[in-house]
Amino acid sequence: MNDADFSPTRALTLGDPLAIEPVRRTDRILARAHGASLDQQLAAGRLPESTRLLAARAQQIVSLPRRTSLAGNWDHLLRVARQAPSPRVRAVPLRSATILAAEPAIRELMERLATPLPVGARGVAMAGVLLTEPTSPVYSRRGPRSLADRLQDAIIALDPAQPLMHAA
Amino acid sequence: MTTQEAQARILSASREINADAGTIFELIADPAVQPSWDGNDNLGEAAPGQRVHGVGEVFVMTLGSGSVRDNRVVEFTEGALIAWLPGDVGQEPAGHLWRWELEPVNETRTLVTHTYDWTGLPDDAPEPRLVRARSTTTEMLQASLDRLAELAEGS
Repeated sequence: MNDADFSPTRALTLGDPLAIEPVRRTDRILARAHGASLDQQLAAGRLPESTRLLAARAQQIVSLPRRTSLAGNWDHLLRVARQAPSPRVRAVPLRSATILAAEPAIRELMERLATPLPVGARGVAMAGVLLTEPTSPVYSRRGPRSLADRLQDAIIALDPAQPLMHAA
Repeated sequence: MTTQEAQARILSASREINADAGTIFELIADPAVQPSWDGNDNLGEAAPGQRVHGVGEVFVMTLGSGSVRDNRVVEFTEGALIAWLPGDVGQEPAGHLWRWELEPVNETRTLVTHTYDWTGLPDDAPEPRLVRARSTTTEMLQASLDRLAELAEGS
């Protein structure tokens, strides 16, 4: 199968025969669709080379445009946290005080994300999961670890001096 | 949750649409338009003026049932990516995530991937919410894509 065989209206799920074919485009689509779950695995320390989808996802998230966009997301989050809540929204959308207290660490995270040097997928995944995870300390008090601690872990993992590949 | 259980909780559908990514993205990022392409027939209405511009923003959607949801935007790249976590009014996110990702094929054609991920929905979530999550199918996602395509290709 090649890209030309891809049906544009086909629904893709893991377990789908398409998923076991070595089709780069299908891997890319599945890696995007399962992005949140794959990012969780990468953030937890699973090696990108463990599976084809993890490798595809790692390749997506370490690209400089993707990292720059993620840094921009953190910047936007800081701006929203500084604003008074919209009168339309009755929920407390963000833990603004927690986010603003962590601003220096968030700025450092943004710098590391936007560096033109290569960085490991784990750190990028950690930075992304902090935004997408429902129990993230950005939104919730349910998580077991503080925002400051998790930011620090991501900053360390994004250190360009960290090895990108693990020894066999 | 095992990897297999997690995978069963991530549904996805893709299709190419004969429109540029910017045109399609406008239809997704403006909550007031979302009910017009919703394949779940779940969305009721959203007030105009809530067009999303970035992570951390919240848009409010009234469902067909009359319930109101606050949707926290958690991923955003203008013209390319948007994802949100719904939650009850005044509550933390429930745990399920809706995502749209757009990849230009060329200047007039775009590959659109729509994902429903409920791996974050806890097992002790309210039963009606779990029932709704379990009953969501790739066909519903595909229906949203097809309606979105009709709108985008007609605009």
